[in-house]
Amino acid sequence: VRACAVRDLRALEAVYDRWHRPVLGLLLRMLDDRGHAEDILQEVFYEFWRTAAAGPLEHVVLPNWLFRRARHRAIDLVRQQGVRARTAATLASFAPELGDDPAEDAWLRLRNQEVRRALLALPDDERRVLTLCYFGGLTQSEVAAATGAPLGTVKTRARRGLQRLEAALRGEAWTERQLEERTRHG
Amino acid sequence: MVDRARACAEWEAALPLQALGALEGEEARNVTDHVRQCPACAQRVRDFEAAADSLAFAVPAATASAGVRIELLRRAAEPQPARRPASIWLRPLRVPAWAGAVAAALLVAVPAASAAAILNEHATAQRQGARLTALERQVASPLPDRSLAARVVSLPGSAAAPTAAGELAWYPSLGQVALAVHRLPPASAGRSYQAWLLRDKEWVSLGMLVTNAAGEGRLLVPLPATLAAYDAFWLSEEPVGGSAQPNGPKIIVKRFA
Repeated sequence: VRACAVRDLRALEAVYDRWHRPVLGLLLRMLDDRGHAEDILQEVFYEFWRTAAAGPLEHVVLPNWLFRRARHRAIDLVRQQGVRARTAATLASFAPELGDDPAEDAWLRLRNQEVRRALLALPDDERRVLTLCYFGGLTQSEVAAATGAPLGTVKTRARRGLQRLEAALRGEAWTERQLEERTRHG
Repeated sequence: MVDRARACAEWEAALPLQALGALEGEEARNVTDHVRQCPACAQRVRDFEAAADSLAFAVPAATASAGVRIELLRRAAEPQPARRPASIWLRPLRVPAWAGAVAAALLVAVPAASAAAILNEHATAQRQGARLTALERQVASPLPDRSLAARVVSLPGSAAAPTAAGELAWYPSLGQVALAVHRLPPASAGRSYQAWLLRDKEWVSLGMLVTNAAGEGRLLVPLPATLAAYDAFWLSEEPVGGSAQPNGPKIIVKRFA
């Protein structure tokens, strides 16, 4: 990031080569159109290049910053320009699969396995809410309509899903009681 | 405190959906306002966001078409938009440790001349023995690889600063010019160094040059035209706010062949 801040093109190449594949994976999960996904991919990395030059990216977690920008742009594209997204039905039945691309680097493959395992371990209704919100970019009302659950239930499922996910990625498995206590005490 | 605690309780259930960007309308605005004022809830949103970010890794990665990379690098290599000479802009400087958090907030947003003015004041303290660690890091931070430069010009010191020396490197792919100078004497009280290019008898300021205790300084600034379009480089000592043209002592003068 620091080298990109002084406009070192080789640093941009390194960042792109390291991170473009998971970012494109996310975009392809959100949009039903590879052309739009690749357009956003290029815009996100160009935005990164320009933002790094202005200096405020030194302390960000780089993949998280890239994912968030990609996701926001994809959601904007769907909401404002009517670009076709994955349907709620497709997303709701989403079962994360493991990439089998031999070009996948080892770290990415391990991370994919770890998160996929954590996501699959969630109760179906919690996974469905997270999937619709995160990959589908649906609002809580849209999730409520897609799942037939009241808004309060959508909120509860989102909270529990994220808490369980966070715990699972830390190697913990929380009981219902622990989730309630964490909710009460912050 | 009671009000804030009540607000925390009211919006607690919405924080995960805030992190997922799934709130709407008035509720989204209310939660955003509350989170802005409540460090505890802001931290909870960040925790939920971190968990949500991990979801991106749940899907298989995919390789983009080669054209995406090519087009990205082509755009990134384009020069900065042309600017009028008077508005050539110096990249914001990293803040010296002794400048403190308040100065940091100011420095990242102020123009070059103002930044130099603030830093020059602190340079006095530095000469009195204060450590200049952050500024030294900034001065020492790498400029773009010299091998990428299309032209590198050596800069000798003048009679006013015989030990000074430096280099000017022009990067057409970046649309920028880098200046690295060392062994500069401390600027006089209330004055600082200003770098210039001369073109058709017109002076173009490259910005104020901040130096560390060793007399080292660096600049990286946009340069729309090629270096060959200019006739000479000057480094002069000017009032800390900068001058419209060089009036003070000439520290480095280099005429281009």
